[in-house]
Amino acid sequence: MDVVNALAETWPRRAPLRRPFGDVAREHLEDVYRYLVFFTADPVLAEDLTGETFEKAFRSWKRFDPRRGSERTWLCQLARSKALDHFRLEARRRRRENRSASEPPQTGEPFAEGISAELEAALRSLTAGEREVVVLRVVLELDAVAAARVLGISRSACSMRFARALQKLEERMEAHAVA
Amino acid sequence: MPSPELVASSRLEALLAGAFPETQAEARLQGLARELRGAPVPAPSSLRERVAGIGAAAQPRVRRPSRRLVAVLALTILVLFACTFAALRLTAKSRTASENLGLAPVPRHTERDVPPAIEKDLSQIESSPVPLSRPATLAPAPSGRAQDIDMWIDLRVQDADQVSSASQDAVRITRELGGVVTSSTVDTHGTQGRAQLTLRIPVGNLDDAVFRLAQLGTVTAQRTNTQDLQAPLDHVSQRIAELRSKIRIELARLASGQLDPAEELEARIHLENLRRNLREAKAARDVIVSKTSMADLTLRLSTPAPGAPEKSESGVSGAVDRAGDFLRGAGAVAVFLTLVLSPLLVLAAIAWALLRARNRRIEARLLDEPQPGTSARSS
Repeated sequence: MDVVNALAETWPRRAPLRRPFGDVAREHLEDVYRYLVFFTADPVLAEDLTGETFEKAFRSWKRFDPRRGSERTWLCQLARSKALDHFRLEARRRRRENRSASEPPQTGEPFAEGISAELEAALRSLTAGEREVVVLRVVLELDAVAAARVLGISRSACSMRFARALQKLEERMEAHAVA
Repeated sequence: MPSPELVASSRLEALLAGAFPETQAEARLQGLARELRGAPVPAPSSLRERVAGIGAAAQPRVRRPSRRLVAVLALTILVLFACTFAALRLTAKSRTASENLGLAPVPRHTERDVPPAIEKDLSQIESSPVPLSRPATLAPAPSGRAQDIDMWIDLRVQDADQVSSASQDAVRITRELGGVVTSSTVDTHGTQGRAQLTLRIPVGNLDDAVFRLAQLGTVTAQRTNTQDLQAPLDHVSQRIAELRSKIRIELARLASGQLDPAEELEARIHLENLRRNLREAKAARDVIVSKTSMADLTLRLSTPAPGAPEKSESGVSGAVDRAGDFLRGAGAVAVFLTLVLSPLLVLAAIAWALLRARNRRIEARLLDEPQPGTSARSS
Protein backbone atom coordinates (compact mmCIF):
# COMPACT_ATOMS: atom_id res chain seq x y z
CA MET A 1 0.00 0.00 0.00
CA ASP A 2 2.96 2.33 0.69
CA VAL A 3 4.06 1.80 -2.88
CA VAL A 4 0.60 2.66 -4.15
CA ASN A 5 0.43 5.83 -2.03
CA ALA A 6 3.90 6.91 -3.15
CA LEU A 7 2.91 6.36 -6.75
CA ALA A 8 -0.33 8.26 -6.28
CA GLU A 9 1.56 11.23 -4.82
CA THR A 10 3.70 11.51 -7.92
CA TRP A 11 0.67 11.51 -10.18
CA PRO A 12 -0.29 14.95 -11.53
CA ARG A 13 -2.96 16.56 -9.50
CA ARG A 14 -6.44 16.91 -10.88
CA ALA A 15 -7.25 20.27 -12.45
CA PRO A 16 -9.57 22.56 -10.42
CA LEU A 17 -13.21 21.93 -11.11
CA ARG A 18 -14.85 24.20 -13.64
CA ARG A 19 -17.89 26.18 -12.57
CA PRO A 20 -21.23 25.45 -14.17
CA PHE A 21 -21.39 27.07 -17.57
CA GLY A 22 -24.64 28.80 -16.80
CA ASP A 23 -23.09 30.70 -13.92
CA VAL A 24 -20.13 31.74 -16.04
CA ALA A 25 -22.38 32.91 -18.88
CA ARG A 26 -24.54 35.03 -16.60
CA GLU A 27 -21.49 36.59 -14.93
CA HIS A 28 -19.56 37.54 -18.06
CA LEU A 29 -22.31 38.20 -20.60
CA GLU A 30 -22.13 41.98 -20.15
CA ASP A 31 -18.36 42.06 -20.45
CA VAL A 32 -18.30 40.06 -23.66
CA TYR A 33 -21.12 42.10 -25.18
CA ARG A 34 -19.45 45.35 -24.21
CA TYR A 35 -16.16 44.18 -25.71
CA LEU A 36 -17.80 43.27 -29.00
CA VAL A 37 -19.80 46.50 -29.14
CA PHE A 38 -16.64 48.59 -28.91
CA PHE A 39 -14.66 46.23 -31.14
CA THR A 40 -17.16 46.10 -33.99
CA ALA A 41 -18.74 49.52 -33.43
CA ASP A 42 -22.05 47.85 -34.23
CA PRO A 43 -24.37 46.85 -31.38
CA VAL A 44 -26.55 44.68 -33.63
CA LEU A 45 -23.55 42.79 -34.94
CA ALA A 46 -22.16 42.57 -31.42
CA GLU A 47 -25.37 40.92 -30.23
CA ASP A 48 -25.12 38.19 -32.89
CA LEU A 49 -21.46 37.64 -32.25
CA THR A 50 -22.00 37.46 -28.49
CA GLY A 51 -24.58 34.73 -28.94
CA GLU A 52 -22.27 32.81 -31.23
CA THR A 53 -19.41 33.27 -28.79
CA PHE A 54 -21.30 31.72 -25.93
CA GLU A 55 -22.52 28.88 -28.13
CA LYS A 56 -18.95 28.09 -29.05
CA ALA A 57 -17.87 28.48 -25.43
CA PHE A 58 -20.52 25.99 -24.36
CA ARG A 59 -19.26 23.42 -26.87
CA SER A 60 -15.65 24.00 -25.79
CA TRP A 61 -16.33 24.25 -22.07
CA LYS A 62 -14.77 20.86 -21.35
CA ARG A 63 -11.46 22.01 -22.79
CA PHE A 64 -11.24 25.16 -20.68
CA ASP A 65 -8.41 24.94 -18.15
CA PRO A 66 -8.73 27.49 -15.31
CA ARG A 67 -4.99 27.22 -14.64
CA ARG A 68 -4.18 28.84 -17.98
CA GLY A 69 -6.27 31.99 -17.55
CA SER A 70 -9.49 33.47 -16.26
CA GLU A 71 -12.91 32.70 -17.70
CA ARG A 72 -13.31 36.28 -18.89
CA THR A 73 -10.02 36.24 -20.77
CA TRP A 74 -10.96 32.96 -22.42
CA LEU A 75 -14.38 34.28 -23.44
CA CYS A 76 -12.83 37.44 -24.86
CA GLN A 77 -10.47 35.30 -26.95
CA LEU A 78 -13.39 33.38 -28.36
CA ALA A 79 -15.30 36.61 -29.01
CA ARG A 80 -12.31 38.09 -30.80
CA SER A 81 -11.99 35.01 -32.97
CA LYS A 82 -15.66 35.25 -33.92
CA ALA A 83 -15.30 38.93 -34.73
CA LEU A 84 -12.24 38.36 -36.90
CA ASP A 85 -14.03 35.60 -38.79
CA HIS A 86 -16.84 38.05 -39.47
CA PHE A 87 -14.38 40.71 -40.65
CA ARG A 88 -12.75 38.20 -43.04
CA LEU A 89 -16.08 37.20 -44.50
CA GLU A 90 -17.05 40.84 -44.89
CA ALA A 91 -13.76 41.67 -46.59
CA ARG A 92 -14.23 38.79 -49.05
CA ARG A 93 -17.78 39.85 -49.72
CA ARG A 94 -16.75 43.43 -50.36
CA ARG A 95 -14.02 42.28 -52.74
CA ARG A 96 -16.48 40.07 -54.59
CA GLU A 97 -18.92 42.93 -54.89
CA ASN A 98 -16.12 45.35 -55.78
CA ARG A 99 -17.12 47.57 -52.92
CA SER A 100 -14.38 49.52 -51.25
CA ALA A 101 -14.23 50.61 -47.70
CA SER A 102 -13.88 54.21 -48.74
CA GLU A 103 -17.60 54.57 -49.32
CA PRO A 104 -19.36 56.99 -46.98
CA PRO A 105 -19.70 55.48 -43.55
CA GLN A 106 -23.13 54.60 -42.37
CA THR A 107 -24.24 56.13 -39.13
CA GLY A 108 -24.50 53.33 -36.68
CA GLU A 109 -26.25 53.07 -33.43
CA PRO A 110 -24.46 54.72 -30.51
CA PHE A 111 -21.97 52.62 -28.58
CA ALA A 112 -23.45 53.31 -25.23
CA GLU A 113 -25.51 55.76 -23.39
CA GLY A 114 -23.71 58.40 -21.46
CA ILE A 115 -20.80 58.79 -23.87
CA SER A 116 -20.23 62.28 -25.20
CA ALA A 117 -20.61 62.94 -28.88
CA GLU A 118 -16.92 63.78 -29.20
CA LEU A 119 -15.89 60.50 -27.58
CA GLU A 120 -18.38 58.59 -29.70
CA ALA A 121 -17.03 60.14 -32.89
CA ALA A 122 -13.46 59.66 -31.79
CA LEU A 123 -14.08 55.98 -31.06
CA ARG A 124 -15.64 55.47 -34.46
CA SER A 125 -12.63 57.07 -36.09
CA LEU A 126 -10.26 54.53 -34.54
CA THR A 127 -9.51 51.23 -36.26
CA ALA A 128 -10.95 48.05 -34.82
CA GLY A 129 -7.53 47.04 -33.54
CA GLU A 130 -7.16 50.31 -31.65
CA ARG A 131 -10.64 50.13 -30.20
CA GLU A 132 -10.24 46.60 -28.95
CA VAL A 133 -7.10 47.31 -26.96
CA VAL A 134 -8.77 50.33 -25.40
CA VAL A 135 -11.87 48.38 -24.41
CA LEU A 136 -9.81 45.49 -23.03
CA ARG A 137 -7.57 47.69 -20.88
CA VAL A 138 -9.92 50.50 -19.93
CA VAL A 139 -13.49 49.25 -20.11
CA LEU A 140 -12.97 45.62 -19.08
CA GLU A 141 -9.97 46.57 -16.90
CA LEU A 142 -7.89 43.55 -17.96
CA ASP A 143 -4.28 43.74 -16.90
CA ALA A 144 -1.51 43.89 -19.50
CA VAL A 145 -0.84 40.15 -19.37
CA ALA A 146 -4.47 39.14 -19.86
CA ALA A 147 -5.01 41.70 -22.61
CA ALA A 148 -1.88 40.50 -24.41
CA ARG A 149 -3.17 36.93 -24.21
CA VAL A 150 -6.49 37.94 -25.76
CA LEU A 151 -4.72 39.85 -28.55
CA GLY A 152 -2.17 37.12 -29.10
CA ILE A 153 0.79 39.48 -28.78
CA SER A 154 3.51 40.12 -26.26
CA ARG A 155 2.93 42.20 -23.16
CA SER A 156 5.24 44.98 -24.32
CA ALA A 157 3.59 45.11 -27.75
CA CYS A 158 0.21 45.28 -26.06
CA SER A 159 1.32 48.16 -23.83
CA MET A 160 2.72 50.07 -26.79
CA ARG A 161 -0.42 49.54 -28.84
CA PHE A 162 -2.56 50.66 -25.92
CA ALA A 163 -0.54 53.83 -25.37
CA ARG A 164 -0.77 54.80 -29.03
CA ALA A 165 -4.47 54.03 -29.21
CA LEU A 166 -5.12 56.25 -26.22
CA GLN A 167 -3.04 59.03 -27.69
CA LYS A 168 -4.91 58.79 -30.97
CA LEU A 169 -8.24 58.75 -29.18
CA GLU A 170 -7.31 61.90 -27.38
CA GLU A 171 -6.23 63.60 -30.60
CA ARG A 172 -9.48 62.69 -32.31
CA MET A 173 -11.48 63.91 -29.39
CA GLU A 174 -9.75 67.27 -29.50
CA ALA A 175 -10.17 67.40 -33.28
CA HIS A 176 -13.88 66.67 -33.02
CA ALA A 177 -14.24 69.11 -30.16
CA VAL A 178 -12.64 71.85 -32.25
CA ALA A 179 -14.79 70.90 -35.23
CA MET B 1 -3.05 72.59 -30.48
CA PRO B 2 -0.06 70.34 -30.03
CA SER B 3 -0.75 66.65 -30.06
CA PRO B 4 -0.86 64.93 -26.68
CA GLU B 5 2.36 63.34 -25.56
CA LEU B 6 2.61 59.60 -25.41
CA VAL B 7 2.30 58.69 -21.73
CA ALA B 8 4.72 56.07 -20.52
CA SER B 9 3.26 52.57 -20.12
CA SER B 10 4.13 52.34 -16.45
CA ARG B 11 2.49 55.70 -15.79
CA LEU B 12 -0.59 54.59 -17.75
CA GLU B 13 -0.93 51.54 -15.52
CA ALA B 14 -0.78 53.73 -12.45
CA LEU B 15 -3.29 56.22 -13.84
CA LEU B 16 -5.74 53.47 -14.73
CA ALA B 17 -5.32 52.08 -11.23
CA GLY B 18 -6.34 55.48 -9.82
CA ALA B 19 -3.06 57.29 -9.24
CA PHE B 20 -3.28 61.09 -8.90
CA PRO B 21 -2.58 62.78 -12.26
CA GLU B 22 0.41 65.04 -12.36
CA THR B 23 -0.20 66.79 -15.69
CA GLN B 24 -3.18 68.00 -17.65
CA ALA B 25 -2.61 65.20 -20.18
CA GLU B 26 -2.76 62.60 -17.45
CA ALA B 27 -5.88 64.20 -16.07
CA ARG B 28 -7.52 64.10 -19.49
CA LEU B 29 -6.62 60.42 -19.86
CA GLN B 30 -8.09 59.60 -16.50
CA GLY B 31 -11.24 61.48 -17.42
CA LEU B 32 -11.43 59.54 -20.65
CA ALA B 33 -11.08 56.25 -18.82
CA ARG B 34 -13.77 57.23 -16.32
CA GLU B 35 -16.14 58.17 -19.09
CA LEU B 36 -15.57 54.90 -20.93
CA ARG B 37 -15.94 52.78 -17.84
CA GLY B 38 -18.99 54.63 -16.67
CA ALA B 39 -20.92 54.24 -19.92
CA PRO B 40 -23.46 51.45 -19.48
CA VAL B 41 -23.66 48.93 -22.28
CA PRO B 42 -26.47 46.62 -21.19
CA ALA B 43 -27.00 43.44 -23.10
CA PRO B 44 -30.39 43.30 -24.85
CA SER B 45 -33.01 41.04 -23.31
CA SER B 46 -33.10 38.89 -26.45
CA LEU B 47 -29.41 38.21 -26.02
CA ARG B 48 -29.90 37.36 -22.36
CA GLU B 49 -32.59 34.86 -23.22
CA ARG B 50 -30.46 33.33 -25.93
CA VAL B 51 -27.44 32.89 -23.69
CA ALA B 52 -29.59 31.70 -20.79
CA GLY B 53 -30.94 28.97 -23.06
CA ILE B 54 -27.41 27.84 -23.82
CA GLY B 55 -26.39 27.81 -20.20
CA ALA B 56 -29.47 25.87 -19.16
CA ALA B 57 -28.38 22.83 -21.19
CA ALA B 58 -27.17 20.03 -18.92
CA GLN B 59 -23.41 19.88 -18.76
CA PRO B 60 -22.29 16.31 -17.98
CA ARG B 61 -19.61 16.43 -15.34
CA VAL B 62 -16.44 14.69 -16.31
CA ARG B 63 -15.65 12.13 -13.66
CA ARG B 64 -12.05 11.15 -13.44
CA PRO B 65 -10.77 8.15 -11.52
CA SER B 66 -8.98 8.83 -8.28
CA ARG B 67 -5.21 8.91 -8.28
CA ARG B 68 -5.02 5.91 -6.01
CA LEU B 69 -7.17 3.84 -8.34
CA VAL B 70 -5.02 4.87 -11.29
CA ALA B 71 -1.88 3.92 -9.37
CA VAL B 72 -3.27 0.49 -8.50
CA LEU B 73 -4.29 -0.12 -12.10
CA ALA B 74 -0.89 0.95 -13.37
CA LEU B 75 0.90 -1.41 -10.97
CA THR B 76 -1.42 -4.28 -11.89
CA ILE B 77 -0.84 -3.76 -15.59
CA LEU B 78 2.94 -3.66 -15.03
CA VAL B 79 2.89 -6.92 -13.07
CA LEU B 80 0.70 -8.64 -15.67
CA PHE B 81 2.97 -7.44 -18.44
CA ALA B 82 6.08 -8.71 -16.63
CA CYS B 83 4.51 -12.12 -16.05
CA THR B 84 3.37 -12.43 -19.65
CA PHE B 85 6.79 -11.41 -20.91
CA ALA B 86 8.52 -13.94 -18.66
CA ALA B 87 6.14 -16.69 -19.75
CA LEU B 88 6.70 -15.92 -23.43
CA ARG B 89 10.47 -15.94 -22.96
CA LEU B 90 10.39 -19.30 -21.19
CA THR B 91 8.23 -20.75 -23.93
CA ALA B 92 10.56 -19.42 -26.61
CA LYS B 93 13.57 -20.81 -24.75
CA SER B 94 11.96 -24.25 -24.50
CA ARG B 95 11.15 -24.15 -28.19
CA THR B 96 14.74 -23.17 -29.05
CA ALA B 97 16.12 -26.05 -26.99
CA SER B 98 13.76 -28.45 -28.75
CA GLU B 99 14.89 -27.17 -32.14
CA ASN B 100 18.49 -27.72 -31.12
CA LEU B 101 17.72 -31.33 -30.33
CA GLY B 102 15.92 -31.81 -33.59
CA LEU B 103 12.44 -31.75 -32.08
CA ALA B 104 11.15 -29.23 -34.54
CA PRO B 105 11.79 -29.07 -38.23
CA VAL B 106 14.75 -26.92 -39.27
CA PRO B 107 15.46 -25.62 -42.75
CA ARG B 108 16.99 -28.34 -44.90
CA HIS B 109 20.03 -27.63 -46.98
CA THR B 110 20.35 -30.42 -49.53
CA GLU B 111 23.22 -30.81 -51.86
CA ARG B 112 21.34 -32.97 -54.33
CA ASP B 113 17.72 -32.91 -55.40
CA VAL B 114 15.64 -34.88 -53.01
CA PRO B 115 13.37 -37.35 -54.81
CA PRO B 116 9.64 -36.78 -54.27
CA ALA B 117 9.34 -39.99 -52.21
CA ILE B 118 11.93 -38.68 -49.77
CA GLU B 119 10.28 -35.26 -49.66
CA LYS B 120 7.05 -36.91 -48.72
CA ASP B 121 8.69 -38.99 -46.03
CA LEU B 122 10.44 -35.97 -44.55
CA SER B 123 7.33 -33.79 -44.59
CA GLN B 124 5.37 -36.50 -42.81
CA ILE B 125 8.02 -36.70 -40.15
CA GLU B 126 8.16 -32.90 -39.72
CA SER B 127 4.44 -32.41 -39.41
CA SER B 128 3.66 -35.28 -37.10
CA PRO B 129 3.51 -34.53 -33.37
CA VAL B 130 6.56 -35.83 -31.54
CA PRO B 131 6.63 -36.72 -27.86
CA LEU B 132 9.45 -34.98 -26.02
CA SER B 133 10.76 -38.22 -24.60
CA ARG B 134 11.47 -39.64 -28.04
CA PRO B 135 12.71 -36.88 -30.26
CA ALA B 136 12.36 -37.17 -34.00
CA THR B 137 15.35 -36.44 -36.16
CA LEU B 138 15.89 -35.28 -39.66
CA ALA B 139 16.65 -38.82 -40.67
CA PRO B 140 13.57 -40.35 -42.20
CA ALA B 141 11.82 -43.03 -40.24
CA PRO B 142 12.54 -46.56 -41.37
CA SER B 143 10.19 -46.99 -44.32
CA GLY B 144 11.50 -50.23 -45.72
CA ARG B 145 13.22 -48.39 -48.50
CA ALA B 146 16.91 -48.30 -49.17
CA GLN B 147 18.20 -44.79 -48.46
CA ASP B 148 21.62 -43.21 -48.33
CA ILE B 149 21.63 -40.76 -45.39
CA ASP B 150 24.30 -38.15 -44.76
CA MET B 151 24.15 -35.82 -41.74
CA TRP B 152 26.26 -32.97 -40.45
CA ILE B 153 26.02 -31.60 -36.92
CA ASP B 154 27.95 -28.60 -35.60
CA LEU B 155 28.29 -28.32 -31.85
CA ARG B 156 29.69 -25.46 -29.80
CA VAL B 157 31.45 -26.30 -26.54
CA GLN B 158 32.98 -24.01 -23.98
CA ASP B 159 36.68 -24.75 -24.15
CA ALA B 160 39.40 -27.03 -25.43
CA ASP B 161 38.94 -29.52 -22.59
CA GLN B 162 35.35 -29.99 -23.61
CA VAL B 163 36.40 -30.48 -27.22
CA SER B 164 38.53 -33.43 -26.14
CA SER B 165 36.01 -34.90 -23.75
CA ALA B 166 33.12 -34.47 -26.19
CA SER B 167 35.15 -36.16 -28.93
CA GLN B 168 35.81 -39.14 -26.68
CA ASP B 169 32.16 -39.30 -25.72
CA ALA B 170 31.16 -39.20 -29.38
CA VAL B 171 33.44 -42.18 -30.15
CA ARG B 172 32.02 -44.12 -27.20
CA ILE B 173 28.44 -43.38 -28.24
CA THR B 174 29.16 -44.49 -31.80
CA ARG B 175 30.59 -47.79 -30.71
CA GLU B 176 27.78 -48.41 -28.25
CA LEU B 177 25.28 -48.01 -31.07
CA GLY B 178 27.12 -50.41 -33.33
CA GLY B 179 28.76 -47.81 -35.49
CA VAL B 180 32.32 -47.10 -36.46
CA VAL B 181 34.50 -43.99 -36.51
CA THR B 182 35.92 -43.65 -39.98
CA SER B 183 38.01 -40.53 -39.21
CA SER B 184 38.77 -38.27 -36.26
CA THR B 185 40.63 -34.97 -36.05
CA VAL B 186 41.05 -33.07 -32.78
CA ASP B 187 42.97 -29.80 -32.64
CA THR B 188 43.34 -27.76 -29.43
CA HIS B 189 45.38 -24.66 -28.67
CA GLY B 190 45.07 -23.03 -25.28
CA THR B 191 41.41 -22.56 -24.53
CA GLN B 192 40.41 -22.85 -28.19
CA GLY B 193 39.85 -26.07 -30.03
CA ARG B 194 38.01 -27.81 -32.79
CA ALA B 195 37.36 -31.40 -33.77
CA GLN B 196 35.81 -33.26 -36.65
CA LEU B 197 34.64 -36.85 -36.48
CA THR B 198 33.20 -38.87 -39.31
CA LEU B 199 30.94 -41.60 -38.00
CA ARG B 200 29.00 -44.43 -39.62
CA ILE B 201 25.95 -45.30 -37.62
CA PRO B 202 23.46 -48.08 -38.34
CA VAL B 203 20.35 -46.46 -39.78
CA GLY B 204 18.19 -48.06 -37.12
CA ASN B 205 20.19 -46.34 -34.36
CA LEU B 206 20.52 -42.98 -36.05
CA ASP B 207 17.84 -41.32 -33.93
CA ASP B 208 19.54 -42.33 -30.71
CA ALA B 209 22.90 -41.24 -32.04
CA VAL B 210 21.68 -37.76 -32.98
CA PHE B 211 19.92 -37.32 -29.65
CA ARG B 212 22.91 -38.37 -27.58
CA LEU B 213 25.48 -36.49 -29.66
CA ALA B 214 23.44 -33.27 -29.44
CA GLN B 215 23.72 -33.45 -25.66
CA LEU B 216 27.49 -33.00 -25.87
CA GLY B 217 27.25 -29.26 -26.63
CA THR B 218 25.08 -26.56 -28.12
CA VAL B 219 23.89 -27.35 -31.62
CA THR B 220 24.65 -24.44 -33.91
CA ALA B 221 23.96 -26.07 -37.26
CA GLN B 222 22.43 -29.25 -38.57
CA ARG B 223 22.05 -30.61 -42.08
CA THR B 224 20.67 -33.80 -43.61
CA ASN B 225 20.92 -35.22 -47.09
CA THR B 226 18.92 -38.25 -48.10
CA GLN B 227 19.01 -40.15 -51.36
CA ASP B 228 16.66 -42.95 -52.17
CA LEU B 229 18.47 -46.00 -53.58
CA GLN B 230 15.58 -48.41 -53.66
CA ALA B 231 15.21 -48.21 -57.43
CA PRO B 232 18.84 -49.06 -58.21
CA LEU B 233 18.73 -51.81 -55.60
CA ASP B 234 15.63 -53.28 -57.14
CA HIS B 235 17.20 -53.08 -60.55
CA VAL B 236 20.37 -54.84 -59.52
CA SER B 237 18.43 -57.46 -57.56
CA GLN B 238 16.32 -58.18 -60.62
CA ARG B 239 19.44 -58.49 -62.72
CA ILE B 240 20.92 -60.93 -60.23
CA ALA B 241 17.77 -63.02 -60.40
CA GLU B 242 17.85 -62.99 -64.21
CA LEU B 243 21.50 -63.97 -64.27
CA ARG B 244 20.93 -66.84 -61.87
CA SER B 245 18.08 -68.05 -64.01
CA LYS B 246 20.26 -67.98 -67.12
CA ILE B 247 23.05 -69.79 -65.30
CA ARG B 248 20.65 -72.54 -64.28
CA ILE B 249 19.52 -72.88 -67.88
CA GLU B 250 23.06 -73.18 -69.16
CA LEU B 251 23.99 -75.71 -66.49
CA ALA B 252 20.96 -77.75 -67.44
CA ARG B 253 21.99 -77.72 -71.12
CA LEU B 254 25.48 -78.84 -70.27
CA ALA B 255 24.20 -81.59 -68.01
CA SER B 256 21.81 -82.90 -70.69
CA GLY B 257 24.70 -84.39 -72.78
CA GLN B 258 22.95 -83.50 -76.02
CA LEU B 259 25.43 -80.85 -77.08
CA ASP B 260 28.13 -81.43 -79.60
CA PRO B 261 31.68 -80.34 -78.71
CA ALA B 262 31.31 -76.92 -80.37
CA GLU B 263 27.98 -76.22 -78.68
CA GLU B 264 29.35 -77.41 -75.36
CA LEU B 265 32.32 -75.06 -75.65
CA GLU B 266 30.06 -72.16 -76.50
CA ALA B 267 27.79 -72.99 -73.60
CA ARG B 268 30.70 -73.08 -71.17
CA ILE B 269 31.97 -69.67 -72.39
CA HIS B 270 28.46 -68.26 -72.04
CA LEU B 271 28.18 -69.71 -68.55
CA GLU B 272 31.47 -68.12 -67.54
CA ASN B 273 30.29 -64.72 -68.78
CA LEU B 274 27.06 -65.10 -66.86
CA ARG B 275 28.91 -65.95 -63.69
CA ARG B 276 31.20 -62.96 -64.13
CA ASN B 277 28.18 -60.67 -64.62
CA LEU B 278 26.58 -62.20 -61.53
CA ARG B 279 29.66 -61.42 -59.47
CA GLU B 280 29.65 -57.82 -60.69
CA ALA B 281 25.95 -57.43 -59.94
CA LYS B 282 26.40 -58.83 -56.47
CA ALA B 283 29.26 -56.44 -55.86
CA ALA B 284 27.08 -53.52 -56.94
CA ARG B 285 24.30 -54.68 -54.69
CA ASP B 286 26.69 -54.97 -51.78
CA VAL B 287 27.78 -51.38 -52.32
CA ILE B 288 24.19 -50.17 -52.26
CA VAL B 289 23.36 -52.23 -49.21
CA SER B 290 26.45 -50.92 -47.50
CA LYS B 291 25.39 -47.33 -48.22
CA THR B 292 21.84 -47.80 -47.08
CA SER B 293 22.49 -49.82 -43.95
CA MET B 294 24.77 -47.24 -42.38
CA ALA B 295 24.33 -43.48 -42.22
CA ASP B 296 27.29 -41.13 -42.51
CA LEU B 297 27.34 -38.54 -39.74
CA THR B 298 29.93 -35.78 -39.57
CA LEU B 299 30.26 -34.21 -36.15
CA ARG B 300 32.10 -30.88 -35.85
CA LEU B 301 33.01 -29.47 -32.47
CA SER B 302 34.27 -25.92 -31.92
CA THR B 303 34.81 -23.36 -29.19
CA PRO B 304 33.63 -19.75 -29.33
CA ALA B 305 35.88 -17.25 -31.08
CA PRO B 306 38.30 -15.44 -28.74
CA GLY B 307 37.01 -12.07 -27.47
CA ALA B 308 33.39 -12.94 -28.03
CA PRO B 309 31.72 -12.87 -24.60
CA GLU B 310 29.57 -15.83 -23.97
CA LYS B 311 26.07 -14.57 -23.36
CA SER B 312 24.39 -16.25 -20.49
CA GLU B 313 20.91 -17.47 -21.29
CA SER B 314 19.28 -17.30 -17.91
CA GLY B 315 19.26 -15.49 -14.57
CA VAL B 316 19.94 -11.89 -13.82
CA SER B 317 22.93 -11.63 -16.16
CA GLY B 318 20.82 -13.07 -18.97
CA ALA B 319 18.12 -10.54 -18.27
CA VAL B 320 20.70 -7.75 -18.23
CA ASP B 321 22.08 -8.96 -21.57
CA ARG B 322 18.62 -9.02 -23.09
CA ALA B 323 17.83 -5.60 -21.67
CA GLY B 324 21.09 -4.27 -23.11
CA ASP B 325 20.23 -5.75 -26.52
CA PHE B 326 16.80 -4.19 -26.38
CA LEU B 327 18.14 -0.77 -25.40
CA ARG B 328 20.75 -0.91 -28.13
CA GLY B 329 18.08 -1.73 -30.66
CA ALA B 330 15.79 0.98 -29.33
CA GLY B 331 18.65 3.49 -29.40
CA ALA B 332 19.42 2.62 -33.01
CA VAL B 333 15.78 3.12 -33.95
CA ALA B 334 15.66 6.45 -32.08
CA VAL B 335 18.78 7.71 -33.87
CA PHE B 336 17.38 6.64 -37.21
CA LEU B 337 14.06 8.36 -36.58
CA THR B 338 15.80 11.51 -35.40
CA LEU B 339 17.96 11.69 -38.51
CA VAL B 340 15.03 11.04 -40.80
CA LEU B 341 12.45 13.18 -39.05
CA SER B 342 14.53 16.18 -37.97
CA PRO B 343 14.67 17.82 -41.44
CA LEU B 344 10.93 17.30 -41.76
CA LEU B 345 10.38 18.81 -38.33
CA VAL B 346 12.51 21.81 -39.24
CA LEU B 347 10.53 22.30 -42.43
CA ALA B 348 7.27 21.95 -40.53
CA ALA B 349 8.42 24.52 -37.96
CA ILE B 350 9.38 26.97 -40.71
CA ALA B 351 6.06 26.44 -42.47
CA TRP B 352 4.20 26.98 -39.20
CA ALA B 353 6.13 30.19 -38.48
CA LEU B 354 5.47 31.52 -41.99
CA LEU B 355 1.80 30.64 -41.74
CA ARG B 356 1.54 32.33 -38.37
CA ALA B 357 3.24 35.46 -39.69
CA ARG B 358 0.89 35.49 -42.68
CA ASN B 359 -2.14 35.12 -40.43
CA ARG B 360 -0.91 37.98 -38.28
CA ARG B 361 -0.50 40.21 -41.31
CA ILE B 362 -3.97 39.39 -42.50
CA GLU B 363 -5.36 40.04 -39.04
CA ALA B 364 -3.54 43.34 -38.74
CA ARG B 365 -4.86 44.38 -42.15
CA LEU B 366 -8.38 43.43 -41.13
CA LEU B 367 -8.15 45.38 -37.90
CA ASP B 368 -6.72 48.43 -39.63
CA GLU B 369 -9.34 48.43 -42.34
CA PRO B 370 -12.22 50.77 -41.66
CA GLN B 371 -15.29 48.70 -40.94
CA PRO B 372 -18.79 49.71 -42.07
CA GLY B 373 -20.26 52.01 -39.43
CA THR B 374 -16.93 53.64 -38.68
CA SER B 375 -14.94 56.36 -40.29
CA ALA B 376 -11.54 55.10 -39.32
CA ARG B 377 -8.55 56.51 -41.10
CA SER B 378 -5.36 54.51 -40.95
CA SER B 379 -2.64 56.53 -39.36
